Amino acid sequence: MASTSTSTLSRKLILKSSDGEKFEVDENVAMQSQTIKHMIEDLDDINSPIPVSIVTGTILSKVIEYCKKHATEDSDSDEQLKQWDKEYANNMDLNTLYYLLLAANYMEIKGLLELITQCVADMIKGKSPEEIRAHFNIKNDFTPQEEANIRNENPWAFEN
Amino acid sequence: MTNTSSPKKLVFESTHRTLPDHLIQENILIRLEVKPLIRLKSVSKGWFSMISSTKFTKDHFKLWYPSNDRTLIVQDDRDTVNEDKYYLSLDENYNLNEFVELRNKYPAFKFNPQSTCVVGSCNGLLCLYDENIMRMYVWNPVTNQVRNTYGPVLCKWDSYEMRCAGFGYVSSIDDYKIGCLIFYRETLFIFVYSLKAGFWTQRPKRNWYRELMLEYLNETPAFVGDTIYWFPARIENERNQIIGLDLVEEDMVIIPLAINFAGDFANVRLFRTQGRLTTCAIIEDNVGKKFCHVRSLTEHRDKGDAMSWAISGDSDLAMSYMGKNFVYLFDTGKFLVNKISHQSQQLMLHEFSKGPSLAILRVSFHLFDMVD
Repeated sequence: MASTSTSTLSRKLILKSSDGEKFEVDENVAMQSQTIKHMIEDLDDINSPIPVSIVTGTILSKVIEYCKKHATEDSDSDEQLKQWDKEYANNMDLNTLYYLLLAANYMEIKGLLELITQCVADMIKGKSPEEIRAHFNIKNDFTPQEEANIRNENPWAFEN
Repeated sequence: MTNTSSPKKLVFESTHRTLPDHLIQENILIRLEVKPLIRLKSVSKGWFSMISSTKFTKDHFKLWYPSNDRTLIVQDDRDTVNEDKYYLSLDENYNLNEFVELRNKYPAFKFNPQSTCVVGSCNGLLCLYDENIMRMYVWNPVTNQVRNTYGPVLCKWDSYEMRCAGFGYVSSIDDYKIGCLIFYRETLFIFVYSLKAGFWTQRPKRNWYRELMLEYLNETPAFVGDTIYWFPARIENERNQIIGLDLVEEDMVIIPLAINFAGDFANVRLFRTQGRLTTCAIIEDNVGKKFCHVRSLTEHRDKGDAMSWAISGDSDLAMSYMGKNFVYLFDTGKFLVNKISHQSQQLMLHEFSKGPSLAILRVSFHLFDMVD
């Protein structure tokens, strides 16, 4: 038991971001990513850097920060962990959030994906269609008449 | 970061907030409530189709209402000139949240309340039937989208006679279907409407079904395992049977029931609990006390492969109560009863406890004040 946990703790992996930055992390931290977990299974030599091809160093460091916090299980209560998650997400600007979302999706980190998507959902739920278009850089491809029809179908949804 | 001198960087910067549609749909939009969702339909055609798709609306409903025992459409016996359909909802502690007329809950409700009844509901969609013009509709009350099925028959002739109707979602083919059993000139017809295909199919059945079908008239159906089931209005202990309409095969099934209902039952109704077909038999004894026996059924096949349904021994639900009318049994096992006194009516929600003991009272509230 003791030897297993020691060996798990001592095993290190190197993650390499899309812009070449390298991060040394404990295996149990990296293993929270299902993608990396599968990659390790196929890997003969775990000492060579594992490429996380679409994630930049800036974002990857944030991902690792999350994984480290969630890898140490018993140090915090659920309540403390929730509070930490909240502060972690609140400290991100919108751009970082979007990149983090893409990274969490690519790396298959369920908890992080849920945290970020909930955060984005909370941000957009009170927004108008115009604001959403600006946020997501979406072109309005409705004619004014079509847009009016949608509004008139459910006027209550457009009231505050 | 702000260096945007090369054209490549410019493109990158301008699309920096574009997320893949599947991420937006499956991970972000699904976490929004209905109101912002409807508003966001007008963002773009892409968002409109994401939010309107059958799969999305179903997944959204499943996420927000994983097991529904908190909302219900309550329909009075159809003898009133006013609205007879109510929307009932309970909060997470099973206290009364709302009890309002359906047309007040969803003001855009544009059906004739006197002639329209609710045939069934599934994943938040309601199937409505206007008896006057023999017309079925599928309605999403939240978005007020209505599908007029222009059927089951194109025009109402007196010789058409609706006996049974039901509505359900068939997951294996990802489709909502309406099923009706209708008499026309001494012949029984099966009518099935597919929401996906958008049309009705009809098929005659052999004449001898007529006698059987006389036992069935507008019974409330139960939808279990792709099949709509109805229970006959009259019970004969010697030859009880449940009829069903399989929405995949689009054909009838007739299932002999290996249960003897002792005594004179005022009423037997079918529900689905924990995914199983369940009978609620209400008896009134000779001093006017009412009892309700709730039994869930499982399929049995004998050696000759004939199928029947019998009470499943291990999870037989049984309860009895007095002076109350049974209203509804939810899939989760919670049930509503209506307690009537000379001054008021009360709806009460109970829950089956382990074993056959009496249920726990959870809520009590006025259905409506009869003094006024």
